[in-house]
Amino acid sequence: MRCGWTPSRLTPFLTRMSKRERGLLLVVVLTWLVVYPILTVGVESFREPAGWTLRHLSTFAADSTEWTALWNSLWISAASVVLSAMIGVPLAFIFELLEFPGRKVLGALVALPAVLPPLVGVIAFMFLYGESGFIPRVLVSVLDLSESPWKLRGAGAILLVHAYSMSVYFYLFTRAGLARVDGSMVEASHSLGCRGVCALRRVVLPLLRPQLTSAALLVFMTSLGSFSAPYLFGGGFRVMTTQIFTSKLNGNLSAAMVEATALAIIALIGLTLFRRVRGEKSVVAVGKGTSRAPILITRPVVKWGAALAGWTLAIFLLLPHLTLITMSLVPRGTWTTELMPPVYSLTNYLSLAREAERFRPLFNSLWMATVSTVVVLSIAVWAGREIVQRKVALRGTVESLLNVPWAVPGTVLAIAVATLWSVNAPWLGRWVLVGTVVILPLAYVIRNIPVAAGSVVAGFRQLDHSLDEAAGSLGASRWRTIRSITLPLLRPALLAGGALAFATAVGDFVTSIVLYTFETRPVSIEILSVLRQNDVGVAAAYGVILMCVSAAAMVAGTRR
Amino acid sequence: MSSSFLSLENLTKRFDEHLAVDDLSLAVPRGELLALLGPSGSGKTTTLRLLAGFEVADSGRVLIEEDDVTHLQPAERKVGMVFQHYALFPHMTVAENVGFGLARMSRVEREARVKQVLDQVHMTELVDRPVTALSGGQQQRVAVARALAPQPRVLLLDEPLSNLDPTLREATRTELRASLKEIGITSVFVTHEQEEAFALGDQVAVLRDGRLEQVGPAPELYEEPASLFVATFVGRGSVIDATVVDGGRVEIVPGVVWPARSSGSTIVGTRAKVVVRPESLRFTDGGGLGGIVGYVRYSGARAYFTVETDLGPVEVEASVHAARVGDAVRLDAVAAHAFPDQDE
Repeated sequence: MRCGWTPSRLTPFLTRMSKRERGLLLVVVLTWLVVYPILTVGVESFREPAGWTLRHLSTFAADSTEWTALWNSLWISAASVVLSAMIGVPLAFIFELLEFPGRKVLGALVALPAVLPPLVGVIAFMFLYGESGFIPRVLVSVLDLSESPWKLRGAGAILLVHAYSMSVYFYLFTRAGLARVDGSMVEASHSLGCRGVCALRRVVLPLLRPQLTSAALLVFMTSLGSFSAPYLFGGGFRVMTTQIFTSKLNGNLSAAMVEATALAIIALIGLTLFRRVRGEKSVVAVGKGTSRAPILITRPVVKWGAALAGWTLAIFLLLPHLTLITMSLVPRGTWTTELMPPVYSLTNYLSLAREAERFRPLFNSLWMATVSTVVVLSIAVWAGREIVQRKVALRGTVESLLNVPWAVPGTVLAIAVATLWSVNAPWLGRWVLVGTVVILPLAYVIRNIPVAAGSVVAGFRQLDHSLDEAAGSLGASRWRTIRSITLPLLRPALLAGGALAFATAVGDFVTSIVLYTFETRPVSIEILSVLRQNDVGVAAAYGVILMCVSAAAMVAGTRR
Repeated sequence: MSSSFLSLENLTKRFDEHLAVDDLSLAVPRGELLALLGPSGSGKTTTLRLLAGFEVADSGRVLIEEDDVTHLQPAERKVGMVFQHYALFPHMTVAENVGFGLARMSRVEREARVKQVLDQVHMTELVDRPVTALSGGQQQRVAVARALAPQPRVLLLDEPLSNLDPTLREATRTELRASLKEIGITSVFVTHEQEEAFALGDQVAVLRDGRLEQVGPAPELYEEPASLFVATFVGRGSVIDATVVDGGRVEIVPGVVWPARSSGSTIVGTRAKVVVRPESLRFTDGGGLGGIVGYVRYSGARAYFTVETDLGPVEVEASVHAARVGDAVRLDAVAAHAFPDQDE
């Protein structure tokens, strides 16, 4: 049987295109995917059926709750940066520079919050610290209290979840930076009389500036777009993401669009400011570097003190995971007033496997994450090959476009996708995709373009361009070169980018809640649904499965 | 009719405003090794890439066996290339790398050819080794074997020895030349090291700013340099200002006249730049150019003496005990090359 289309049929067409045309094609496709939806939301917020209007904007500006939500989003994000840095940076120094029993195992455990999808992390916190959670139950029992000593509500609860889940960024970035600090620079500082705090302040921290600002930017942007924690713990405390969702839920689409535009503008301002602080110049070591060996602690008191602190912290970080696993084993209605659940079984997991309607969200999440990952990696490989290897025109524009979704909070992106693809106007590149199976994978693709492209483009940059030329000189066709040279050598970058994209998609909550249909509901939406039915065990079982899938993806992503 | 196997005819290549290769013509007879020698930015690598087909010439032609290959893709030219950093595929073994260009052969044929070509570079015992586990010298030989496997008409080598440490470089140089000569393949290689160009190449083409300064066998370049640039770039030599006395002599300072072969365009009575090799200078007891020994660089039984003269530093090769630092000496030359002074 003859195949209708093969890559090689496309080759002559692509070969004929000039560098400018190839660059332009990439810019057009990326603009359609990442800029067009956001621009549409911006434009639509100034329109009504009769024509252009400033009415939505003036309604927004006159509403004090909108300003409060905007302010709350900002200060929560800034406070999350400070809190995460206060936890993550010292931890990184302890684990990178000190040697104590269990350092390696603990060093890996500290990164565990990264494998909890946002909603799963939030419900784990709810099971652990919520009013009827494990810790309050223990405290009520031990201290003989009449009710939980706290309520997991409002700004404090949101900040606690953010600090827990986002300090890992500071920890990982700072450790990576410390591992690259040239030991001879610290030794030079010592030899010039600047030791201890002086060396830290004048030598080490300035060298870590790129990593610290990158982590701060990541935490700020993630907090600004955070939806799960404010949605479940916010109560009356409104932030912009929940505000947008509420407006959409109430059918007030124009308000949702103005709010989305406002949040997108704040995010872009934040991004620009952080980029300015970080500066274009990155501080790099000159000359041959010598790695900095961990400082061996010889005094037993300090050594065991550090070990104790490390293990305590690890248990604190592991508690949400352990709670989730425990809760997933508790059958419905068996745990009432007891301190610990009296019955454990696999009933919840079995119901997920046996009941088609319960299995369906798992299947949906897996296929949608898989498809979106394959598509986003294809886009990343296309972009990487064009901008790094072929050096097409408009490379700077392409790289900026690849980063756009990163600067846009998930809720904004979801509203943008919902707005653009709810109208049938093929001549404007718009089709009705909302309500179809395509819309969620498409949203996942757009959201994950930055992570996939970041990894893959960096992978291309590390490839020796002469390998391509060598293959060409040995008679390999373009497709054979891609298949047998480029892709195998890109494997680590593809795995890393693919794992991150897959983990983000499989655990996505923020875009899914805006765009899902009953047929395509992913696990995160089902978790919320079963929680509403008070089926805590099943929600936890879903959470454990998502956690394991994310962890497996991360492990696969770090394989070389 | 040209007897050359490979010809470059009036090749020109620009990168934006930069003229990388400027109207370059060269011819290489079958089975010969041509070295492209020049400083950084002289256009030698661009010339090699034009030959390989990785760059397309703005004008001019590349002919192999009278076939015009100027507009052919790299693979269609039947040209093998050894890259500066070898460009071995790191995820493949030695055999997989060498067999990469033999995709059209059957497995049995391919294995036989891989074995044959590895045998030519004495690497048969490492056939299944990952290329990342090889030493620099072994990687270089695999790169040569891979380029030779598809039986190219011409072999191109981009600074083939630059990644090797100095001790290995000399041995590999000899071995590489012997292998290429034995196979009889027409080769062009790029280098910025004169010693390497002289040791490997049958002919050496000296390039400067994209233009050909001179092409010829090593002794010709050394003994009959066509320009001041070639005279100073190839081999050691001191440059002294002098006045042309006649076609065979120059006056260095009043009363000191040295024999000097003039390039065609020097005019009697005008100023000239004279290049004199260290081995052409002698310490004399009588008249000559006066100076003070400022520095001595020992090189076994011989030494290089830097003599500070009124005309600038002059380097002399002599026996180790001929002079000491601080000695007042006089110099005479047995041969020199005179070139027109461009500033005149």
